[in-house]
Amino acid sequence: MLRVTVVEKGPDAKLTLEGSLDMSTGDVLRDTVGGLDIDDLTSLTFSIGGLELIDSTGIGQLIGYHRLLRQRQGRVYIENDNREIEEILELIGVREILEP
Amino acid sequence: MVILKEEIEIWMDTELQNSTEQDQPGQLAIINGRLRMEEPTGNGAWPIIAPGKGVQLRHEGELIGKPTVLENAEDVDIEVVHKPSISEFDLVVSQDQMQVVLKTRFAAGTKYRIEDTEYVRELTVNVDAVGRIPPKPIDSSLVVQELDALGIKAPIFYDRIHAACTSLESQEVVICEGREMKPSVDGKVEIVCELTRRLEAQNDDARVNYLDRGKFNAVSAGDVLAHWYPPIPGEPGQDVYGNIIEVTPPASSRLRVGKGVKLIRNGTTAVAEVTGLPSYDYGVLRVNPQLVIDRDVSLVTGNVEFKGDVTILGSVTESLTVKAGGSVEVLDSVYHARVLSGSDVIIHKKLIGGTVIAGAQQPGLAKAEKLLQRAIRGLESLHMICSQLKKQPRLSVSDLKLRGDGYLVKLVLETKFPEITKTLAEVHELFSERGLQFCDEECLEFVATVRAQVQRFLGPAPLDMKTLEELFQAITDLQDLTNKLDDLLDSPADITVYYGQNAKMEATGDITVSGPLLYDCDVVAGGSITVSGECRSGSYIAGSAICAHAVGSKGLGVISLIVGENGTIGADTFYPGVKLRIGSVQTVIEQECHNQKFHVQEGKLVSSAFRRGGVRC
Repeated sequence: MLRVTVVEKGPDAKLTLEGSLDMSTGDVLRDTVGGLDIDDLTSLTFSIGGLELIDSTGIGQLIGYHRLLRQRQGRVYIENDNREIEEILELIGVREILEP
Repeated sequence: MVILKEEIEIWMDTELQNSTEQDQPGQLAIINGRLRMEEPTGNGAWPIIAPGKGVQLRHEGELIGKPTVLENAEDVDIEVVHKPSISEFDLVVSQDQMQVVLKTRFAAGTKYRIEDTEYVRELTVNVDAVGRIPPKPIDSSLVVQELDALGIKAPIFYDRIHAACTSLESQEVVICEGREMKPSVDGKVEIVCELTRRLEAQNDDARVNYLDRGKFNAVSAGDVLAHWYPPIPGEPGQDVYGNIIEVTPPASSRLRVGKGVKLIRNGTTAVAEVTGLPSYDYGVLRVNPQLVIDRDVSLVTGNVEFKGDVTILGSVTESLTVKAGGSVEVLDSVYHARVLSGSDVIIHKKLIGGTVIAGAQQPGLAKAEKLLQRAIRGLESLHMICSQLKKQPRLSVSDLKLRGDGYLVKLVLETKFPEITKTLAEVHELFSERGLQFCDEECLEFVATVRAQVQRFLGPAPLDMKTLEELFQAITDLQDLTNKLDDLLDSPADITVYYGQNAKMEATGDITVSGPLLYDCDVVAGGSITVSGECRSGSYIAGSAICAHAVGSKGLGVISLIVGENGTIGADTFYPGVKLRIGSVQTVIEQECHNQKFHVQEGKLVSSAFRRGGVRC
């Protein structure tokens, strides 16, 4: 199960994710992001330290938002203080594409 | 005495009457084979007898051959002459005195009897055939005696004599033979290789390619060039008389060889020691490993293709191709042409436009090998990272169970290793069909396999991988292909040129530019690239090192220099904008710098002093 909390709406939006971001819960995040005005966003921050599990589909979804915002000259940030989740992000190279 | 007329007339009438009654001719007849005679009466004529064919008549012991008056049948002996049978032979010695032929002749005789006749005055005694007289066998000893009398010394076939003499059929049979002389066989040199200098081009269609005049004939090292068949002395013969027939000694011709040819098998076989042009002049077989073109390679000469070394005393002009199995040396320049060499290439002056390949027959192979090695290292890291990820406690793999590990592979490939995809795409492009004009069948097949294997990592293809084991296998397969590619590339071959511009160079060994400038070229070397002068714009890839006097230029074109991870890039001067890549570490020169040699240490790019004393890597 995934719980998404909109901490800030925009233009620098911030969402907190808790629970599990995977193939079955991706729609929850999608619906929440869909509720934001993408065209107005300068940045979108995902705080994912509260996630217990994430899968490659979920990571792909986050990267997808990065590409979406980059097209609009925006940026995606990922805040995370969970060491194990961070290791996953580094192994996949998420940090490298988010912070060139 | 007076005789009265009347009495005389009576007497005459009586006499006349008497004579009319008694003047009957005599007659002869053959009755039951015996001669019968009726004597004449009065003044009748006496019978006449004559012998017919096959009859002998003896009259009172004398043989009569013409019609004869017969007085008494008892005086004649009639003898029937029967036709005897024939049993005879003849010995014929052949003209060459090598055979004696026995010719037998058998013929049956005929038995006759006297032919019965009616009484006639003139009788010709004839005969009737009443039977056959068979021939008799010939006495073999007579034949042998005759042979002896002729002085025949050669072995006699007695069985044949006996058979011929007793067969009662006329025949000719050889009964004695001499010993044939075995003639000598002259020694012979048989050239089995093509000696034509230039082989006619094979055109599949009706169009004539004026640049393709055919390959220069060449043999490869180890090819059989000629055979020598040594002379065989003959053996004297002997005729039927025992005379010796002498034999002429054989003519001897030896197989003489010169440079580039070796004799094996006791001097009876000549093989090429080197690859080159064979010649057989003045009885000496040679192979010249070098083909010399004493002018420009142009429309006049057509393309040049030769298995050995080629030396061109002029230039290679536009659109022409020089292809050599060995080395190529051009004493002048190469203009917008192709030079493909299995070994080194030396161009004494300029290379402008065109392509020069040393050590590989197909452009792109050497570059592809470098790119693949680089990609494989990245793929191995990819596999390792994917394996680690799957062990992460916070990474859920439920989606991978549904979609396959390929989803993760593609994610990491796109996110962390985008250069692998670029590299493999470049290999895929290198091996596109339009670039494969010099590929033979084996090469084409190999290239197709490489393309297919590379394709597995491009586009959506990685999604097809169900497990990381499949990824591992795909990497292993690609490594195997890369190893085979390495084998396809010949032993290191170098390119040396004085000046290069807008050209493409590939060498499995080193590339050296000894003159002032290398400009806007695409250069790949398995070893090092050394430029004595300036290296401005273009792409330069080397296995080990790149060094130049100056790299880059002020605002003129882009230049990238790439070496392997243990390689070095050094120059007296680096201008801003030069892109350097050593292994996976890359940088761009931001400020002009001097006397620098770059290498990678602990994953970071470091520089040291570039040693002078002549530019060398």
